[in-house]
Amino acid sequence: MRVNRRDNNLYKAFVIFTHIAILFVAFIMQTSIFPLITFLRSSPNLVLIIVFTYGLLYGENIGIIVGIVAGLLFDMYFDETFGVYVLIYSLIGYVNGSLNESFYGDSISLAMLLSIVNCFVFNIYIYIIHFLLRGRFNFLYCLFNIMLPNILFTLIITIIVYKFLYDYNVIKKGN
Amino acid sequence: MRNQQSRIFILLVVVLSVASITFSHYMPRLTVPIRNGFSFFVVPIQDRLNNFGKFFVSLFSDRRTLNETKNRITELEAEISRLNDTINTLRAESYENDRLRKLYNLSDEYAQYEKIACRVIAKESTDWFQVFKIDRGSRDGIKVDMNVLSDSGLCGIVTYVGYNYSTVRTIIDDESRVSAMTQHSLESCIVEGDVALYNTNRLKITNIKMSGTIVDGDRIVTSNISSKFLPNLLIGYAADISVNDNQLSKSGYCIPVTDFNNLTEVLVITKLKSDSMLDR
Repeated sequence: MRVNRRDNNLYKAFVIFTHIAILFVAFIMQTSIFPLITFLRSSPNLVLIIVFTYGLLYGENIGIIVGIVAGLLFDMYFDETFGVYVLIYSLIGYVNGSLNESFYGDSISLAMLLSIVNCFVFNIYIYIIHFLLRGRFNFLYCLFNIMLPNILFTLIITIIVYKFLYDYNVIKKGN
Repeated sequence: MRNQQSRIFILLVVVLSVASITFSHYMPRLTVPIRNGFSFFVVPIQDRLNNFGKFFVSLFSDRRTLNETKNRITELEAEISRLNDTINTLRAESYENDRLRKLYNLSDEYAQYEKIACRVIAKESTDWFQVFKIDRGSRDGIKVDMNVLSDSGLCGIVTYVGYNYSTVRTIIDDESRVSAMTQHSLESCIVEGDVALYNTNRLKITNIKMSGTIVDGDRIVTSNISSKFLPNLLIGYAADISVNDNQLSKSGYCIPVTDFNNLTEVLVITKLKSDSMLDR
């Protein structure tokens, strides 16, 4: 009995480790690989996809936790005021987590819709904090040239990544 | 019940992160150890990845057609002979310059600055900023406000230094403003980045006096009155200079000599402008 429980704990630790590893790999790809590919007009927000997918699949609490970890990665890495990314990522995790009970996560169209909405919200947040507060009001230019390409690329990556994340997590849940 | 619990949870997170934003805004030093600890793990990974990524990128960027390359070669050959010609004239002038300088006892302002070569290891992942990270930090003697050069001219300025990395804000970033001047007529102006010009690879030139004789094609260099940039670093060339609507000043664009899309290696000048001010 005791051995069993220990095995169970080990397994749990392993599962948590793999989830963190997924997040970390996405973070590294987003910061070091995508931006160096020069022909990409915009680099997709992989970490955002992971945050809202985990929120959708596991509910509010896990959504917030994944959001905090993702936000911490960015806050520690970029030299802005500490907490800017934790705030937005955890909120996105929470809001998407609250959809967990009303929707089944298996439809790709829902994921696509959420990807568009989340990415839009994220971009607006960055715009407000870094541009609007400095008195730069060229919103329409930013919308068409920065936000829309970003949303589009993220959407394309969502179609690929969401299926993988969904299968991976649902199979694990089944076990 | 669970709903209530996660509502409290998110409220707590929001309050904590707002508190941390406020704290770190007023006391940025508090976050330095956390960031250094983190970058201690991440930077080596990114450094390795960078080599891998370069290989990946070269696969795509080497796909120029043979014809393009041939045309380019003939163009470049013509350019070389033209440049050789210029060098010869300039060499003669340089001798004369040296002689005159000795005559006037001028301090050698154009001396070669000491530089450190650095590799670009990461770029800001969104298109909002034109900021990148390099693989050298405080342990290599990098300090905030050091000027960064690409192989052709001014590229940016160091804004943050960690233990083994530093952040460089390029001059085309929306927050960047450089005090500049034209090289031949020494008229001062301000060169600033603009988010709307990222894709066109251009900068704005503002604050040109109405009486200024600046014309399209003038070399724009950093001015000697700038508090952060060393003097006479080439920024780019003036373009589309026009009179403002208020008829009081002129403005235009600057085409930078640095290609900001393909930065892989940069040079950091280890001399600070503020140091040279202390000397005097």
